[in-house]
Amino acid sequence: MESQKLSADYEAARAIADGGDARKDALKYFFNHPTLKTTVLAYVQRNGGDLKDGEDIFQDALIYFDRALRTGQFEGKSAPATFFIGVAKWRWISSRRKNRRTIPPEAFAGEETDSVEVLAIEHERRELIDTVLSKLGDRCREILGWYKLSYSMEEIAEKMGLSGPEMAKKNAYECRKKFRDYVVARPEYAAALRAGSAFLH
Amino acid sequence: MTDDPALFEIIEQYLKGALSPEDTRRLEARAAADPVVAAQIDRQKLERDAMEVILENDLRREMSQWSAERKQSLLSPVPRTAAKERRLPPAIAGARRQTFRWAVAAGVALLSVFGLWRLTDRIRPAPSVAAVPRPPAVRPDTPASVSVEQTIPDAKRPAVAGNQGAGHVALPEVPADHFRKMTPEPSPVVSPNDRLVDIAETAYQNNPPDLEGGGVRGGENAAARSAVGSAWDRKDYRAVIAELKNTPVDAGHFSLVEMLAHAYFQSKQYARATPLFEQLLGWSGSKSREKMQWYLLLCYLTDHERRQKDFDALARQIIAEPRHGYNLECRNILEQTNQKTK
Repeated sequence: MESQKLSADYEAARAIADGGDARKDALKYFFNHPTLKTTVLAYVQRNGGDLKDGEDIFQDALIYFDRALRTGQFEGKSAPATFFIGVAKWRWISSRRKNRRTIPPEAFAGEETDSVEVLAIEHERRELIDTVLSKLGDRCREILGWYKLSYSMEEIAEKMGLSGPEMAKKNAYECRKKFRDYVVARPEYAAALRAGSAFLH
Repeated sequence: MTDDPALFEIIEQYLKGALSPEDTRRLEARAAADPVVAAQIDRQKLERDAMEVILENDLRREMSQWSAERKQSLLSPVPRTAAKERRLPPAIAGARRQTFRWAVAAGVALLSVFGLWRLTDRIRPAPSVAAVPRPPAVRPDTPASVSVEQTIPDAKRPAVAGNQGAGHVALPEVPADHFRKMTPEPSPVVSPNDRLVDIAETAYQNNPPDLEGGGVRGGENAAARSAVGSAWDRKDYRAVIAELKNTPVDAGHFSLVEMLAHAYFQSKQYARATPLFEQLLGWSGSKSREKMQWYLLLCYLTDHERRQKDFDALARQIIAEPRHGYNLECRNILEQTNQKTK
């Protein structure tokens, strides 16, 4: 029975990593996983949080889990559920550190989740991104979402009802440019957003 | 977005982590020397972060909806047989259904053959051995002999497919609608106790003991302790049992007895693990009491038929303490147990 669960977990993990149409159902599978949530809630409660903290951490963990699988941060050194719980622990520890609370050293063993830290988007940077994204419109956000999930231009064209891949490419280009122009036109944004830059000069 | 499409593509690969180490070094050197390239990397990183935020916002919306659906489903009655299957992806549920159907078919066929044989045995005078109809030989590839384990993909850890950006996990291809159809179906016949053992094992694996083999090394008889520690680290629980089964069961050997109890549990020898956890609970101070209660509860669950009273009493104790470290797990166990035993 345990191997069946493991196999199902691996299949769901694969579907998320592929980023295709099965991704959302696979995410839902982990969201409704019979034991993941309980384990995360219990961990948070045992380490100084309450139920609300636990719920927040569980949702954050699913977001990072999704991101880690799609970007290849999960290399299969542990079972997907173990990795998920590791991500949740890391998230809880990070949030505790941020609030300058004491962390017992035994509360967290890094393991495979060490690499997840690079996926974090600083809160301030994220808020600014949200502000800029709200100026883009639903259609642009949708196209960029498909693009990020590595859908081909043919697939994006089909999903968006566009005439063909060239048109999809043009749309994606324009949406990205619109985002960039908005940031570039506001130097105060550019400076704050550069704080989380990939390349530190 | 940049005047140089080739540079744009290189930076995209760099940000995905898909650039070769040599090209990575080359790009970083170029960015260090040229602020325009550095700024280009920053901009593309920002755009990629923005796309992640789009996906994140989308996922948060989905989660709100899933939470609402979950609450709704808790309020409405669900056929009990469907509850377990619903959680499983259809491939697994399908494999179980398929196995169940073959098992039923094989059972009916065997009963028919047996019945016929009995009937002919009564009607006719006892025939010679050669005349007795034999059940048909079962070919190795007969579906009735196919186990559930064989019908699902191997549960081995996925191989690392190298640094190729997204999708490192090497697993079988999943059709697009694989996880969509969660249609409830009758579940196979599994005895209630098997299900409870399954619940106990799952709960155990989700909260594995934080014992480390290294923790028992050192002290007196260091060599023996080191052997146990190594066996524990290798997850060779039989070897742990072999090393520890003659350990005096007293409070002075708490950590060794604890390890032995867990080794029994991991080896599915629950009846041996139970009295040890009972002892350990008796010796426990406030620090380890909660843990011992939890593992003892799981032991009781594996023998629910006989230990139901003990299970209920201990569960009540844990539930009564809102700050108990395993309060939530205990509630979860009770919820699952109630579903399975009703």
